[in-house]
Amino acid sequence: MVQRTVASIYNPGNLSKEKLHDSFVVRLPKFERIFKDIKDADMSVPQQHYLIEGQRGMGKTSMLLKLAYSIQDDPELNQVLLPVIFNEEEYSISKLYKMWEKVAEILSDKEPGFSNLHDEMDDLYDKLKDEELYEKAAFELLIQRARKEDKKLILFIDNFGDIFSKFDKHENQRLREVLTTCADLRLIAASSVVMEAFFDYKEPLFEFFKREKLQGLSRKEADALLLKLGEDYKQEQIKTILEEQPGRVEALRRITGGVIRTMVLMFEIFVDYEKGEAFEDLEKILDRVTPLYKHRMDDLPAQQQTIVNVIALQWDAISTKEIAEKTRLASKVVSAQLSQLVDNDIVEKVPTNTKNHLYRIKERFFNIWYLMRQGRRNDKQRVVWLTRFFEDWCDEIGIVDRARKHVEALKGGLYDVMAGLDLSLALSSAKHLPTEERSELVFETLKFLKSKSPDLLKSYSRSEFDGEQDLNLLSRVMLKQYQENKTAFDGMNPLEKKQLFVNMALLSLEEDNQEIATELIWRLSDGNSKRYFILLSGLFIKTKRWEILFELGIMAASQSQKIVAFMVAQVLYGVEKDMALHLMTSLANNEFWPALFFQIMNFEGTKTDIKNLYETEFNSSLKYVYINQKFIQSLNPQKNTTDLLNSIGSELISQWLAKLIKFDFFEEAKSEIIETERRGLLNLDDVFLQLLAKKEFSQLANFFTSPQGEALHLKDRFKPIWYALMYYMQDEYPNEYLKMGPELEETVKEIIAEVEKRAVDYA
Amino acid sequence: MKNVVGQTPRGKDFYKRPKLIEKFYRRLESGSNLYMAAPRRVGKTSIMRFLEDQPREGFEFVYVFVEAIDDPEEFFQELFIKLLRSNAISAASKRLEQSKTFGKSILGRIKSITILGQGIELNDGEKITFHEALENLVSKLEPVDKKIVIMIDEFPQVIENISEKQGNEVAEKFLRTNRGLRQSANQNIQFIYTGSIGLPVVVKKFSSLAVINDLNIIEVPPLSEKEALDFSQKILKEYSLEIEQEVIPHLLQKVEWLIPHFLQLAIQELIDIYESKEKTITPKDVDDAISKMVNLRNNIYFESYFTRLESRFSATEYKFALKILGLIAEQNDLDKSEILTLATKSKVPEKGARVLESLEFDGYITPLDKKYRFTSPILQLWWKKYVSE
Repeated sequence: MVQRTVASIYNPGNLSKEKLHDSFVVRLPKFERIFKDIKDADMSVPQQHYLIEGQRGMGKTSMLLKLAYSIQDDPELNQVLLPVIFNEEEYSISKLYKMWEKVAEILSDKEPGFSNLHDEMDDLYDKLKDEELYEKAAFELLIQRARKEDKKLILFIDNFGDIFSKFDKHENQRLREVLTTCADLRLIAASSVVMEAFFDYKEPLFEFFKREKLQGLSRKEADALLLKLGEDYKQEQIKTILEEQPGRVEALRRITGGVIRTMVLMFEIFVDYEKGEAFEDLEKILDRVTPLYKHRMDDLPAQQQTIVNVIALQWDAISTKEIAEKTRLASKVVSAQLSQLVDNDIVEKVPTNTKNHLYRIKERFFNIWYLMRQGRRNDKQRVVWLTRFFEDWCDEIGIVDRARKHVEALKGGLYDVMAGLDLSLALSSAKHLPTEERSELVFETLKFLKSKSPDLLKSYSRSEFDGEQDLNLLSRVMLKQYQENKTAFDGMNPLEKKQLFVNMALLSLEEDNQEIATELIWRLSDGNSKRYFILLSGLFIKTKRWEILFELGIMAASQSQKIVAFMVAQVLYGVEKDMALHLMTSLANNEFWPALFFQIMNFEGTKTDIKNLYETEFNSSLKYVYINQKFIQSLNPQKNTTDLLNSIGSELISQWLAKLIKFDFFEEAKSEIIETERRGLLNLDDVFLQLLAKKEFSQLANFFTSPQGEALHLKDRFKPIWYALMYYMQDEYPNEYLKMGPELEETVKEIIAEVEKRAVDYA
Repeated sequence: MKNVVGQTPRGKDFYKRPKLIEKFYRRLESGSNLYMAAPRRVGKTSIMRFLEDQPREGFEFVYVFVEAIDDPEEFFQELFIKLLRSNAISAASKRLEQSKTFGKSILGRIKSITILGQGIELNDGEKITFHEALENLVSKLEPVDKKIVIMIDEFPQVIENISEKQGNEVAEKFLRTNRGLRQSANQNIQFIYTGSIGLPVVVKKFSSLAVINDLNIIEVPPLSEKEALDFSQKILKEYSLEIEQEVIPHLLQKVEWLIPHFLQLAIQELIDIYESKEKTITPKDVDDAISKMVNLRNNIYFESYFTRLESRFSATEYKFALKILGLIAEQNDLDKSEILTLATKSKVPEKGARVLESLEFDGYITPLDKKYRFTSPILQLWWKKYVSE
């Protein structure tokens, strides 16, 4: 196993000298120039001091160490120069004299000639008891000792800005004096610049430094870095990629802003096939930068925080307009704040061909931190940075290969849970990962999470089931698995399980594999046959497989699932009447009253039939209509089916009422009308139209004029119907039709036309 | 010649300006004490260091950097000790030792000097201040066939420090003491004062200019075009940069105000560009280099032009200075009369001229045909981008 680099990139001080030299493959010209400058200087006069600047992760510390080690290794230079390497973070240096003490402390440990220097300074402090005097004296002591040893000191101080900002004005002037006048000491400092709002360069001291900016890696440097990483990780293909697909490297460079640490990090995540340790490293780094970055966010004015939040969560560059929409701030306000954010190096402008530029977070690692620490745990957007990397770095073959490796890793079970999840989310969101692989990855992730962390599983499946598309993808891969080995993963919550299995069954029906579909529904029903029939019939209804639905109905009837069979018959009635009636007959033979009722409705029954029916099963018949409607609705909320059932339901009721009226059951008709109207199910117009079409004129007139009809105010409520009836009954009621007001004429004519039309249909 | 940015270039890294150096010697030979006037970053310190490192026959220079000093006695102590330790004194003092007056002179009477104590103890037990010791030394010392020149860098800063810490009266007295010192000094002991803030502007705050009117002002102009060309070529050669022929003329045209510092900064950017692209530098790269300098909020070299204004002026003056600099940055130039009208409007009528003078002296703006414009177009661009808005 290769030592991972990203951890040491964060803390290069932990690397051995050899390893540091070995891994230092970029920024060589800059290093050589500075080193040459050091080498050429005879140090007889005060020398040029350096300030190495750059974002975090740009390689400042490595540059300092490389210079220091190279001096140590140079047989001529190490006779004259004594490098003093400060630790990366020297929190204790709050005073200038403490800086000299630190130098003494470092030298006391390492150089025999300086062995008691630190103690001598202590003594001096006790004697002088005045900080200003002591500072001068301590410095003098240090320089005298260096001269005695015939050595010039070259100080390598990291995060110099942090140290320097603690000095007061006088110390600042003193340091400037020392640096301009003392030929025995040279300073090579490093400081991060971008976004460190709490530190500024206003102090004149900094003018005395030669600034060396470490910017994002150039194309060439990026190549060199990747080649080196490829060697370290035995990734032969890197060479080929560099030669044949330079665009990929360029994309990586752009996505990371050319920041070494971020490039290495992404690369290491890419090649971390087994355990996800690179992610753990990332987590550690994120923890360490959290105080700094939090501070940075807290320092921003509220509106800027809101804007940075939107831009950071987006990761990709975003327009002012989009920002305005997402923040609900006025475009003008957004523009003004953006220009400040750009000036302060927090946001960078990405020019486009149009006037509307795009904006993104300048320090890409800060953006990664923001997404990982402020994004929601299961939000894919949290790892969008990694997704974009995969999209840019991998071609289709590459992404498939990487996804497969991850699937293997998930199966192996050694991958860190969080890391496994993060990587799955990132890979599965990559645009060019083909459906098959994507589904398999999601499926394996589900299994992986089920065994490792049920809690995560819950939230993960929720996030993965967001859209129809996801559902289809997942069902597809699960179906494939099922077809291969008849096993199906079912660790998700019941609702999701139902969605998934129904979808899988639908997919297999699409493939005309009814057997598998049936098996899947059987599994989903957990041995409950009623549920099984209901689910399956729902499936057939949805796919309009009427013949199979009919067979299912027959089977249901034979297995005493009468209600299911009845429901199926009702559905079939609207589309395949013969099948429906066939099914009803078999149910009616089974003494299933609703079916009988249904039959009577469709055939001519006698007054006795109706009376019997009313007395025995009337209430429950209607009940079935209601229940079935509700039930089918819940099973299959698609509008078509509901409409179909509604029309069947109301047709049944209409016919039933028409028959009640025809056979003089006025009282029953009245209470039925009241009940159904209450439920909003009945269209009485339809009942009356049927009677008219069947020329049951006198019966209808009797009902309207009966006490029951009066009680329901039928004549008033159905005036057009009444006058249409009177039109047909002009012989019996010669004056009544004439009473019709002219405003009703048109409507009545229409009703008459409809009646004539229906009469033809019934004939 | 190395591209030394910020630190004082010395030895072979110092770009010699023979005419200018000649001017210094001529003035010194005439017996004047000098005040070197030049905007910051023009190269004052490096000239002094050059004089010190490679003095002409008959001259010895002693360089004293005093920026951090905030007490008169500390100032004189620094001068006294630097002088005492210098080569200049050792020769002269030998001569003094052989003379009859040695016993009475300060060198003969010094028993011990401790930099940690206050003052000096003499053989006879008398204690004197460093001021007295220094005055004694410079008046009694008789350098023959040699001039000793004491160069005091960042002198105006000391005055500011003292006035800040001990009040204007002490500062004013300090100025008079210095004048006295110059007057009592042997004719072969001379002084050059300079600093990165204009001495007259500092003095005017609490004293009459009379305390410094014995100083002969010597100006350090920017490089001539010819010098700048030569200067740039020498540096670029050091780093083996491959450049197209048009690059340096284009660079000079862009930088316009040809002080070594701005040229060095631009060249530094070019070196950076060369290192990352490893291709011959073109005029287009010069444009990129300039735009990199200008498009950086944290440009530590420009930033101080802005921040030092606040410490230089009172609150109303500061506001006024920002206003006119903003306007000039925006409009490229501004009539002097218009500026003075603005001064009245900004309620600094009598100080308007002083602010203007100070900005001109410090190299921010330059008059041309009764109009003021930015001395450096590069600084102007940066100013427009980061300060005005």
